[in-house]
Amino acid sequence: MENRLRELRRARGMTQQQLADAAEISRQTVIAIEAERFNPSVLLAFRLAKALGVTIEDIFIFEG
Amino acid sequence: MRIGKMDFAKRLRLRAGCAVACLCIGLGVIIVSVVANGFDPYRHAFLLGLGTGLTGAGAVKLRQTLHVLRDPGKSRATRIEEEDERNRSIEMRSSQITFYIGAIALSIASVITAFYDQKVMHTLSIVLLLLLALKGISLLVLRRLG
Repeated sequence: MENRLRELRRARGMTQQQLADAAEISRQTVIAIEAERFNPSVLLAFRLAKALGVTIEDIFIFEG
Repeated sequence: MRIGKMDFAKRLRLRAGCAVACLCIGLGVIIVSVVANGFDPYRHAFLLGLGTGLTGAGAVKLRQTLHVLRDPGKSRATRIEEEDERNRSIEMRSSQITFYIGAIALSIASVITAFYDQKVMHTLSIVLLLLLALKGISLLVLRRLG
């Protein structure tokens, strides 16, 4: 699944560590999601969306 | 943030309790190995080693857990590290791989030992069957709960 996490994070001037702290996950997980090596659960997707102030659909692009 | 039905602080307190139990059992085993007479040297050394190992593991775990419990910053960092979704997924995959490699190694070992020692072969086979039975039971229980 593709995502715009890096783009949205950078647009808000956040570091990976700041986003990780806001979403209460490890920085390695942020790195893995940005590199599209790891697909998060719905719960984590909601936490990331909340931390960035956007909706899940703004971050993740589902091409079924 | 919760894992299952238990929050992190409660889980840490439970962990500290288990560490204390491990420490006490270890000390008990050491005392038994030193005080009790009639053990042959092998059993005496085995019990002493077991007791020392349990005591050491309990003491280290207790120290780590109390350190995390007392420091809010460290507690938050540990909670994030332990509850992190990716870390848990990696741990789960690692456990699965370890289980299957262990089961295969036990099967191979029991076949090889069948040529040399029937007792060892029986022991290994029983351990393998118990492992597989436990896996089946845990799958059934988790399917019911999930």
